[in-house]
Amino acid sequence: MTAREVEIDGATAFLAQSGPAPAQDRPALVLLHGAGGDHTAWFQVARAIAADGGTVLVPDLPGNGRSGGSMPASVPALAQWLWSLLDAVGAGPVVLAGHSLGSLVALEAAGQKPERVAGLGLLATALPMAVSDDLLATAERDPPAAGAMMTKWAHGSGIRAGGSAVPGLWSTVLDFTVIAATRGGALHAALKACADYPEAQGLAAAARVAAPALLLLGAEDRMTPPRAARRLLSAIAGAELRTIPDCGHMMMVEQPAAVRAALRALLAAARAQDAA
Amino acid sequence: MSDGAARGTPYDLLPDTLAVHAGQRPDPVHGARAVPIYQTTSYVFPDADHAAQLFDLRIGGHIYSRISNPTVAVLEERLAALEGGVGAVCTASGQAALHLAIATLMGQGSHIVASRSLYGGSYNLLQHTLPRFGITSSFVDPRDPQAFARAIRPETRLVFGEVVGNPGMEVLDLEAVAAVAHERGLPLLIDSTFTPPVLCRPLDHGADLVMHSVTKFIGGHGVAIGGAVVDGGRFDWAGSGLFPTISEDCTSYNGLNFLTEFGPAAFVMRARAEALRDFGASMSPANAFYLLQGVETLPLRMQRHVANAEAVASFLQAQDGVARVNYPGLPGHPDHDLARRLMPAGCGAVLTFDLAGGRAAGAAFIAGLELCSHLANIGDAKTLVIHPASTTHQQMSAAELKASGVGEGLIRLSVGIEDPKDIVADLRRGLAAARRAVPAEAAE
Repeated sequence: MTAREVEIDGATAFLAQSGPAPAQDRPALVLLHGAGGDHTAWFQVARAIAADGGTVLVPDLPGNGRSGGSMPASVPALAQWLWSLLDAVGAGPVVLAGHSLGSLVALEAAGQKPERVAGLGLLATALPMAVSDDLLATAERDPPAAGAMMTKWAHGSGIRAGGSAVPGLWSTVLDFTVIAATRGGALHAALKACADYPEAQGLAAAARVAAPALLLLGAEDRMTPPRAARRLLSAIAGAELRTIPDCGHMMMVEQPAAVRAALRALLAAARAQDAA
Repeated sequence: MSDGAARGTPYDLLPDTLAVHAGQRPDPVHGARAVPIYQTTSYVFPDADHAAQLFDLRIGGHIYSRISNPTVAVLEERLAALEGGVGAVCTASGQAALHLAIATLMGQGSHIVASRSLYGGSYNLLQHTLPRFGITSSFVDPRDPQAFARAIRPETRLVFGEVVGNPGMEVLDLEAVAAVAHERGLPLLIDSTFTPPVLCRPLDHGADLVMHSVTKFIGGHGVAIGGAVVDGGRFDWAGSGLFPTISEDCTSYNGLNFLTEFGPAAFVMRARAEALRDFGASMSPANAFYLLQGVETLPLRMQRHVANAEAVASFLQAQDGVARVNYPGLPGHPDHDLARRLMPAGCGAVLTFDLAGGRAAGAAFIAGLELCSHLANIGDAKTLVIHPASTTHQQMSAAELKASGVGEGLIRLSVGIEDPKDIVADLRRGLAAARRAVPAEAAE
């Protein structure tokens, strides 16, 4: 994995690249983290999939992780930022996959430039993506306290007891530590971007998606429950739905093997459509 | 005992529940409710690609039980959960845990600033053995945080101490020493063996890493040796710039950068992937199983340990022939207020006291005991007693002993969970024997 930094809108944007540099003639997989996260959310996914031979790009959204700037409280602005970043690193076609907030960014980005998108993966997604007033207010006032609320809600019943796929890691504190480290108003802005993204805009973006699409949902997800993705599913032509049992919102931590398998299937479908 | 599930923490379960459940889901194959002992050295790879992914740390899983094991992993997660860390690595012993932390952080030419009131085994490692490998240490007064600051050099890579010093029973001002360490870009490692997580969570008070001899109160029954290092996940490795093993590309993993890849879990991932893999001081699955039985009752046992220790300390304080009782839970202890702040549920179950009759009285006291066991351990359900000057600290010179607060008549007690009346009755026997050996007038 290579750490890359480029300048977008006057601020440093960080990107972890696994596999070869992106190219114009084959799609790169782009993995987008959720509110309060950073690229490390994908550590059980990104390099493993890149080992198949492709390029995997994992950015830190603005104001998160190693990316500077401030987090825009708007999904369309994040999608524009993403295209600027992908252009800056020379990416051609992409398979966009996002988790939670990242799924909305991927969806909106696909609506903005459907011709660039070879595949779309929406993980732990919902449209609209409701955020409670209590969580929004807490995120503005006390981000670590909001991070604690999110961690409690985000984990399914299995991972709350433990049993990490990576021996010795305690996911509760690991996930909380990443969220609690968000700077400035990044967490609040990210949650507000989720809450404010209009359903109609998301459905319009969905209608423009022609590439293979996958909705990957956690059966026990309490933040983006499977029922909250129904209209989105029916708005994307031919979209596949996969539901992971014994899984809450944090599927890359809770069921990393299922996430890897689903994303590999999406990449295969994207390649098959490209070949056809 | 502390409200770990209160608003503001990410925990869904309270500590007493975590002690029973954390890290384990019922066995998915057979439904076993207890943690199974995975008595296996190695794990079948479904295919060559899966094996390559595991070896390259691209996916999680088990390869070989020197590096990780499912039974040991339950204990690791449980200890991380109880300490509030992002992860843990269990080791063959507490000494192995200390070595694992040091070997992960530094190499030849590095330096450690440590409290001078340390477990004798830790002192030996730092003072006598590690210098052969190019790592030296300075020892300072644990009651003087600025002494830690003064001892830090450009090559210092770690600040190390115990919550309650052994055997001096000094209480380390964790916040103050952490501030000193962080000011210089250094992590604070705390040996919290005397103060298991239901009594004190050093990570909540500024420490970055916590180690245990799990053999002691956590295991609780004196049946298995083990250690653990818990990673708090909040130290700023990149900002410090002093730790290339964490923040720079690793040659033995194809250039993997642990900090970029694993973020807050960089230290604990590196400790397992390199130091445990290469030095090999791993915990056996059978020992992890025994130690897990202890963890389940840790909150209950510590309540009894602490209540008994407080009763014994009060008793000893009132006895002729006892010159001084060292227990931070006693109001007269110089660090009592700090101890209450760091350990609101009690200051543990280890205490020391000085017999007025010196070495001869100490020997007679131990010989006169019937219930308490004379041995080199603490943290057993049984009350244990030792004379440090002739055992755990016997490698020290007279001057070193004095600097560590070990008098010739010092006795260390690890108060067990027996009926406190029986413990006190046995101590009366020992004190009577000491008085017979060294009459009061001679002791003065």
